[in-house]
Amino acid sequence: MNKIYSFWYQILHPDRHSSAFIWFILLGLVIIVVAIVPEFIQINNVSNVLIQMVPLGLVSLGQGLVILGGGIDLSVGSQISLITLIAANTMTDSPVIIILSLFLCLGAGVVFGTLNGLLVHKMNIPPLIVTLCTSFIFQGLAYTLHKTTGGYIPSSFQMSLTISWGLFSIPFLLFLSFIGIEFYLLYRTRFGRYIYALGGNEEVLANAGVSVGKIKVTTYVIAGLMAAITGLYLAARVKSGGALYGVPFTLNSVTAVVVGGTPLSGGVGGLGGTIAGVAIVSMLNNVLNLISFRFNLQSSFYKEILTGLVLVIAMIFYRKRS
Amino acid sequence: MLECKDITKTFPGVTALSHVSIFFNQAEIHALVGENGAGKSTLIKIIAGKYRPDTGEIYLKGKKVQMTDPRKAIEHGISTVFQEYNLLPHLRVLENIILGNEPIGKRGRIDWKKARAICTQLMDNLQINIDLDRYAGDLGAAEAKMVEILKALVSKAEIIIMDEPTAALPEKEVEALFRLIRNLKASGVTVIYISHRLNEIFSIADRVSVLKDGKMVGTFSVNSINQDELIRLMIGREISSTFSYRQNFQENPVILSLRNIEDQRHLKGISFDLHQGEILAIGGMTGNGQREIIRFLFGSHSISKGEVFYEGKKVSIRSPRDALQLGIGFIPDDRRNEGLAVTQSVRKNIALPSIHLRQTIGFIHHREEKEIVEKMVSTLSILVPMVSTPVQNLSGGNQQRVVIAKWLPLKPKVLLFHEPTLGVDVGAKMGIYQLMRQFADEGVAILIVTSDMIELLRIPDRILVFFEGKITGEFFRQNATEEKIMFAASGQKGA
Repeated sequence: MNKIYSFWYQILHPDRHSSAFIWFILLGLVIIVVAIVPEFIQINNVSNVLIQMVPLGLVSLGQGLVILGGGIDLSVGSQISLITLIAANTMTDSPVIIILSLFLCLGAGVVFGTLNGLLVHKMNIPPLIVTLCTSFIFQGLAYTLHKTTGGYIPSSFQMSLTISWGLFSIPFLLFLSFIGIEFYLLYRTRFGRYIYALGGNEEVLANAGVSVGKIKVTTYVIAGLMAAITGLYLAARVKSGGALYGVPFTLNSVTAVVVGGTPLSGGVGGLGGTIAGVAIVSMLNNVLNLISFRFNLQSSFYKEILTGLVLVIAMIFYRKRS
Repeated sequence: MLECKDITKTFPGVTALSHVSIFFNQAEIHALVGENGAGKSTLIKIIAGKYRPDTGEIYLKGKKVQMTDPRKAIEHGISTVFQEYNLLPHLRVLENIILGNEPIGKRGRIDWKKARAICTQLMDNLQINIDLDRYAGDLGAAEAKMVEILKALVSKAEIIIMDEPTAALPEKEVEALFRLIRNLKASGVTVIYISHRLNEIFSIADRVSVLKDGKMVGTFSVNSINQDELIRLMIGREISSTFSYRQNFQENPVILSLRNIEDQRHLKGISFDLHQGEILAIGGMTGNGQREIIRFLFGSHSISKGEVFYEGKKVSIRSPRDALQLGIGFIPDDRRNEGLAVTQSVRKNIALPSIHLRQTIGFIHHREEKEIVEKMVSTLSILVPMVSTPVQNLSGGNQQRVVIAKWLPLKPKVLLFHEPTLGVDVGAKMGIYQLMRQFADEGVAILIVTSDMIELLRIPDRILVFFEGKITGEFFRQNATEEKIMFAASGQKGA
């Protein structure tokens, strides 16, 4: 009876709004890949794939909530770039400064998200336009901090975010814990229900006596926060800041969420699908690297073609479903 | 229980309510009637906190209250069941009912067990039974309304405003809803009930208040007034309850003839003829193929078998384009989605289907368009300040006229009306009926699909009754009675 509110039920949604489908696609993809390149399944590579998932995964967790609520955030990419530069320009070897810089970056993410959310809610401008505009602003700010790449990231900070043991690594565990937090928020609290309601029909939510604005703004704030965490992680991984580091994440996060079964109109779908979407989008990258190495191909074009195809196929399926 | 004193509300250019006073007792069903634009919706929006009155006061249980926003009203125990669908189709019934009132357990979790218990108890009290785990989108119209009422009750509503709750309900489901409303009353809830269906008011309400042109005409006990008097108060004039009709239409040539139309599900061998200058109405319980047949004739529903003859020639109507080329126009039931681009101007809406008649290599002849639109506006007497006014600012009756006006420049020979007066008030209804008759007199064949019994009995020359995709009754107006129609609509042939 209450099983429909259980963990696995909510992750897989085995009834109408099934994200089980996308998990099967993922599984199928893994099987095909292992058949072609057996190296894929080696512990080293699996651990790599999992780590490569992390930045996209973190952004997509935020993006997923925004899209589920009927919005979209096209500024996450330039937010990430800007955060990497803020981190790389403020950090020194002193642990105190590192911590202050961490808070500065997270605070910046909250401010960016709040700005987006308030423009969408108070000014009543379509989210697509708002976040497109703010993405230019954030991108411009990033350029003023540093034209290309640079800055300083202390080794201690880098080390702490790149430790790994076999399959597990700090970044992957970080990702898992954020999945846990988001699961709790989305499926256990009122806030989560209201995001679904917001994406389903804003008017209905308002008529239920709920303050729609708070919910809406909060989704953008969470997206900003996740972008900030992603930026910090990227800065640590590459040991620098860069004005273009975040660029691919804007559209890739939207792709991951949509492949995962949350339509751009919001209201249906959820966390489970998004995770599978992230895995598919970031796996294609790794897989094509392996394949091209093996067959001596130029891979980067194929990756984009394949991503496009997967997206189209997923969309055709979701259309039929509804 | 609730008292509104001397409420006035003006919008730029209009006085929506002027010095209206009204009171509602505890545990009464109080109907609110009036034509569209009489101020009913303004009044309930003020009570529900959506609008603030310019002057006047609201007292709740003797205490003066300020309804500053809908949340405040809900806190005061006033909930609204809107006319429009107000559920989230992708969430379950339980989640919909409890939305906004989720019981919180430890660590901020929603306590679903408790939520379920609350809903189950509510349903038990009201003697209704809806599966809480179904998706709201799968519910029937009546069940959906009940879920919306349950939603109101969960937020501890003592006063529930129902805005045309039966507008989208088939006749047989209305009774189930009425049972629920009576149970609500028995449990002490006050119901403010708005409906255009006056006969409903007499079967459910205790008192009825009439609004006209923003003023309160009066409040009456339903026992002290009858339907004709009520209509008179609402529109301030008598309406002749019968319309002229034509007995000799069969002398006119047949324009459209259907033979054994079948589709996969809804239509099971439909054959009939439509004559020039005739008004033919199709009735029956909703969902027995009426919707499909009228959409088929406009090319938006496909069939698997059967033939159509138009002016004696065999034709196939595969798209609305085909239908229009034959001279068939369609006035759909869902005006706002299928009939009009509501945010666009009256002019653009009227000009759209005939735009190809007034262009040279893609450039539109603007002056000609303006003339034609203005001519349509005056022939159909559409009340609109300017032809550039967006259609959404017009009343239901005027919107319906705009939909009709769209087809006229194409000089249609057949006009299909699906629920021609849905959401149109009493006075404007008469206007639409007169227009239909006028077209018919000019030789246009009119086909109506309607679920409104009065409309079915009083408007057409001939009546067909559908049941499970077949025609189970055909009546000429002079010998049609409600009884015979009901008999045919429930599937008994040979009435």
